[in-house]
Amino acid sequence: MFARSFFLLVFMVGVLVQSSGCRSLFGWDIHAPGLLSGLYFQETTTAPQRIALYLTDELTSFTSTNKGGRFADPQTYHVGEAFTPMVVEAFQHGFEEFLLMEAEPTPAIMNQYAIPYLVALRPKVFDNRVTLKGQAVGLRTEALVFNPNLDIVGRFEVDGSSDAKKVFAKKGGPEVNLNAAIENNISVTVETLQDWLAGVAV
Amino acid sequence: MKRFLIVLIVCSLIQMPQICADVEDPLLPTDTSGRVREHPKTGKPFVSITDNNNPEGRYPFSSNIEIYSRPDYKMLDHKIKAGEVPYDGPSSSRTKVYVFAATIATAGAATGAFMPVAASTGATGSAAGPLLGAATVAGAGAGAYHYGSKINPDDDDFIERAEARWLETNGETIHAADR
Repeated sequence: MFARSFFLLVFMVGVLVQSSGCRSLFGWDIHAPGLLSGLYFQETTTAPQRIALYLTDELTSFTSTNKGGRFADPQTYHVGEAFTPMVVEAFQHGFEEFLLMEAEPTPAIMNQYAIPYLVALRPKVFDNRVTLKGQAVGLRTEALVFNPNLDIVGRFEVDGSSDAKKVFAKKGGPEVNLNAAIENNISVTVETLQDWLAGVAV
Repeated sequence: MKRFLIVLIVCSLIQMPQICADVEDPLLPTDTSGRVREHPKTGKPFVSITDNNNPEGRYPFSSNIEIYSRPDYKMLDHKIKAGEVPYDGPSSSRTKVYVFAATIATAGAATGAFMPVAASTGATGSAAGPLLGAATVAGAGAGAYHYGSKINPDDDDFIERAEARWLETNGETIHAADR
């Protein structure tokens, strides 16, 4: 009688866990602060250029459930949510005349606003490696550079990562680690564009 | 033959306005506007090109914006203890795990099976703060750029933090060997 009710209880708990979903019970929802650190402003200069940035929907809503290890808890990394304000802030500082292209770009729009280059960013891979000592997260994006006729004049991939230890022992550790990986990706994207534009202008 | 050509020309003329309508004149003004927006987290203004028919249609920022202080990556240094660097940003809530564990404990079943999950959320480790070095730039092949930053390039355990690889410039694909 006792064994029967015990198994019934265990079964009911199992059904509860199954129906509510393990992720919602045990999962980690990682939201990065979504702001650049002071380091970015020290390292990156402002280029005297006009540039437009187009963010794909795929990027702004990008999340990853890569939990980084077989036995790790389920995790959801809200990458796009943090990437969007950070990349806008980075371009605001990195280029003297920055435009965010919210409308679908066309050659007519490029001509109307005299935009020499448009950069479109899209996500490729989010990597997460959780070990007993810490966590390494990395983000790969692809940047496409368009001329006023919307022909592709350049395409490059950027990897940004942050590898830190003891992150899970600190309040906000995984969040700041994600922020750092995104910032590394964005700062190299801006530096690469600045160098390329300087080369084109010569 | 002549008649066929005349029919063909007449048909083309009928089709012409429709074909032309599909091609947008790049010199005509578009149905867009340049408007000043404020960065949702810093308040710094920037110019945005929006579609007049749907100005908020592709507003990229999340509607649920919370404002925090800028993160300090010193926090990721293994030598820095928890709470030593002030942090007011988002953090993962462990409450639900404990609430669930408490519910299970009250029900008197399977407590032991669930508690390690709560405990494992505080996994610890040692060493390394990745973001202390300055960016270095090194050209590598025609049109290819490579960027990397390290804690200290002379150290054996330096960590490369980021790099960019050109895949295509001016319509020319850059091969892996040139990157």
